[in-house]
Amino acid sequence: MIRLVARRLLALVPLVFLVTLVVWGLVLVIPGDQALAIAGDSATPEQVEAIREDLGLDDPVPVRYGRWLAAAVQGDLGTSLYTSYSVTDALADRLPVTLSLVFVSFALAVVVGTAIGMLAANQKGRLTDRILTVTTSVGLAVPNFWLGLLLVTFFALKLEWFPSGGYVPFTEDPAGWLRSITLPAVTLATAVAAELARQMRASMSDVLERDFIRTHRAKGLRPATIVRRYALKNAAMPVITVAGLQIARLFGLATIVEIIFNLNGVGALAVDAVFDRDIPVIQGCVLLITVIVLLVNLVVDVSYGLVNPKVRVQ
Amino acid sequence: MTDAGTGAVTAAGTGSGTGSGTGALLEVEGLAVEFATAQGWARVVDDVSFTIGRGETLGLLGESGCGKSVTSLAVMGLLPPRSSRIAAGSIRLDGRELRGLSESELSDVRGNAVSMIFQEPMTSLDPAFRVGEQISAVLRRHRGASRSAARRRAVELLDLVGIPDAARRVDDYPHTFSGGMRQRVMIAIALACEPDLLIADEPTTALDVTVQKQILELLAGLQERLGMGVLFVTHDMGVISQISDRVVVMYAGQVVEQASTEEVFWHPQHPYTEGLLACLPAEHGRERLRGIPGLVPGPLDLPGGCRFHPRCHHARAGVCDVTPPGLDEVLAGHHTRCLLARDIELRGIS
Amino acid sequence: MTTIRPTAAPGAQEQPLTDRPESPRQRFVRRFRRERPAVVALVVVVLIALAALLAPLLATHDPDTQVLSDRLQAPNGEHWFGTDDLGRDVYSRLLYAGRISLLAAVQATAIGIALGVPLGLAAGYLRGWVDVVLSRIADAVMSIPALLLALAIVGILEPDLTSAMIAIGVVYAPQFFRLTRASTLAVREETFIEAARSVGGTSRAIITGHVLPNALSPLVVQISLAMGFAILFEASISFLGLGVQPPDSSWGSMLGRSTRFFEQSPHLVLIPGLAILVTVLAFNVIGDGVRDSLGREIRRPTQ
Repeated sequence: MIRLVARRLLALVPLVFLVTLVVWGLVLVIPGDQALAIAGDSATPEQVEAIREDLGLDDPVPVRYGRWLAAAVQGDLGTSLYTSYSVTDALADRLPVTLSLVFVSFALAVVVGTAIGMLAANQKGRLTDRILTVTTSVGLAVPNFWLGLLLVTFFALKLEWFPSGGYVPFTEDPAGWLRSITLPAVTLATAVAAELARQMRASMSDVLERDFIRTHRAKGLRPATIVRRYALKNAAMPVITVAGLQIARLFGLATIVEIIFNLNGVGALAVDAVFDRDIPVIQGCVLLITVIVLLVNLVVDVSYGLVNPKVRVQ
Repeated sequence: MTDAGTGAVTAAGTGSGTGSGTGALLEVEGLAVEFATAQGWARVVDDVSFTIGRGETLGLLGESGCGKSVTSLAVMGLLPPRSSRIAAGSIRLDGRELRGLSESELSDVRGNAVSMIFQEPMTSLDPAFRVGEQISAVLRRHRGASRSAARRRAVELLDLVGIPDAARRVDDYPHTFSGGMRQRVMIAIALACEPDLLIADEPTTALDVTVQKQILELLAGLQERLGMGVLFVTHDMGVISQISDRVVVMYAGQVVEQASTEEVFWHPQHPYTEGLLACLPAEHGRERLRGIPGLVPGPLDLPGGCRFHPRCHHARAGVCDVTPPGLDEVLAGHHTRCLLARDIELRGIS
Repeated sequence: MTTIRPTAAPGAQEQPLTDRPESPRQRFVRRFRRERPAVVALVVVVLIALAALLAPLLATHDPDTQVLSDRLQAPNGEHWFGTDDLGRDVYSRLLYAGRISLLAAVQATAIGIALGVPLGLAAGYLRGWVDVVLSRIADAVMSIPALLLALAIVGILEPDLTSAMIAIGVVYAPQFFRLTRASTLAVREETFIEAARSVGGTSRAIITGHVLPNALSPLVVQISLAMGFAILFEASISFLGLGVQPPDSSWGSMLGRSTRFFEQSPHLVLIPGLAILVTVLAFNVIGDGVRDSLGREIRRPTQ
């Protein structure tokens, strides 16, 4: 088990390296002079030159990349071009918000998606199944910012059950935290829950037709036991793989949800940075989130091994 | 095994219409099963009747698609709901009617009084659970056994079915077992609650010949020890000859011949049975006969008259393609569904 | 032994009416027509595309004319979908915005195909280090959350519709790459490729003549699903104000600038949102339908 984790961790190293290349390499495609863009139109040529020197823009590309990578490995992702804050500090500040949002959404999506998928598979071809299938199709197609607006208007502004935005840290007020995270989490979870429900329905209906399910029935086990205990574990295997991929999707979609609900997370930081064209912040956000996604996927991979005996033995 | 269950043999000998009060373990009477198709309900099992006594082995014989597996699933109550139905007949276990029981009542019987083992040992075990857990589940369901007691019993059962090093193997997953070993595990699951009736649906077909022999011997030995009735479903005459006391031959959803094993082998009364015998390898010093040409007709394109006549080389035009034969007792305890039974001489094995 | 398949024998309906064997395309068309939701979705997409194309004919007002005295009207006889905060006719704007949304999705998907398919063919056909390098890069790009990567690309280029399209295209390219690579690898080993090669076919002829046609079916599914996602992505980016810039607008940017008026004029938010939802849903349903119609031959029941 430990060796499995270690091996997967090692395999991540080249991938992360490539990701840094992609993230950093994006800078190279910037049209025009970066120093000029930062200095603004009214700057003198001397000021522009000073910025250029400051950022080391005159050095060859590999040197610049090497410098950036060396610093990044030590946890230094540079300085914001506009606010002169350390990117690392800004990310550390905002990461808890994004993590809360994404993990609550993920838990919600897994529970709801699995339940819907199981129910649909059990009722395959009947009315319940059709209604659920239509619902999940709509869930996949609904723009989540639009859904978020609808939820805010109805549950926050009309019914006043939840705040319309803002984040309450868990450590300050757990109940307030839950209230502040509920609507954003529901918004974010919808598409992923729909995707998982579809996968679970397909996987579960496949499993329910296998020979060993007939064996379980021949043993006299109760239908509910067969579905919840035996079929679920078998059906979960392919769904877990898909669930891992959904983590990346959640982190991506979280940006827009954070904007709508006025949550100061990494995603909102990234959007602000895109508006400002604050390259170091953009790079930092993308890199941090991607590394987290890769690590979470590793956890998912390992948990897949726990469910699937054939992987465990190897 | 032939000496077991003599009482039942006598009871069954009184004819296919034997009813309640005979003390038989399983009585199937006038069973009809239908499947949903695009053209409506198709009858795949039609008016099938037989009985099995305690300790007796009944061989249910026929080619693929003749309805024998459907018959056995019907007895287990394992037919797919909605897309299939029992259209007529009764299934009595120890005098208790199983047809019409609720799913919950049936599940109390399955794995408990009646167990089943299947043809496909490679796919019939749950790949995600240890074999011990799969055996224990039956005991905990029907006997209310504790986790540890069920586990101890699982080890005993694995030992009983001849799995070496059972105490260690109990914690292994199915994919670490060979086909023959998996079938032994299936047998252990089926025998966990010491059922009165065991249904074995082609349990050895997917196995190679030496393993097949071992499994048959194991089943025969266990039956003797536990005194259960066995419904043994197979297309293989050779297997039937080794294990069963009586034989029911099915063709196109109907019983076409029914008699003791010796009678069927020595004096077959139906051309279909003769054809099946011809498929046996030529051992007992007789020449190899040809097999049966053609395929079993589907339930939606049954020929008129005798259902077997298009494949029968004894068939007579104007007779066999016109009149549907009934199941008649042509010799004592020997039934056949053939219009020509008294006119033609059929070759058995001497 | 085999029990009868419990399903209503599909074999019966599968029979083509003629004696001649069907071509794969005929079979696909016949099956697709049986996928009723997909057929409906296809009609919906065609109608939406027609509405966008014919916007100048269908529009009742000039989409950009501001009538400040008519601000924030609810839907009425004059303005079917009401007016926005500048007094512009929402119905007419919706038609014109649809042009941009659909065109943007087509462009983004085209960029994804243009990047992904040739590289996928190259990786699958040449294999070796080309395959290794390209596949690793695709892995790296795919491990970055899509929307975040798209935003980053927009930020590094400059916030406008073209950047958004390029960004979405780049995000999609690895998916087209993987799909094409997998199909190419699968086809590569088939005997008819061997045969083509042995009679002296050029790589190019083999690729265009044999490999591409075989990769086509999964690509069609992917294109349909990619269109749906591209519309969602463009809407998200434009909603944030990082995509299409005024005076142009797409459904996403219509939504983005209306959020402030949601309570007064909910139609401003509801209508473009529904337009996005319906269009994306239609593309997804078509994709599912195509995939199901392309499925392997259903095995005949044994009885």
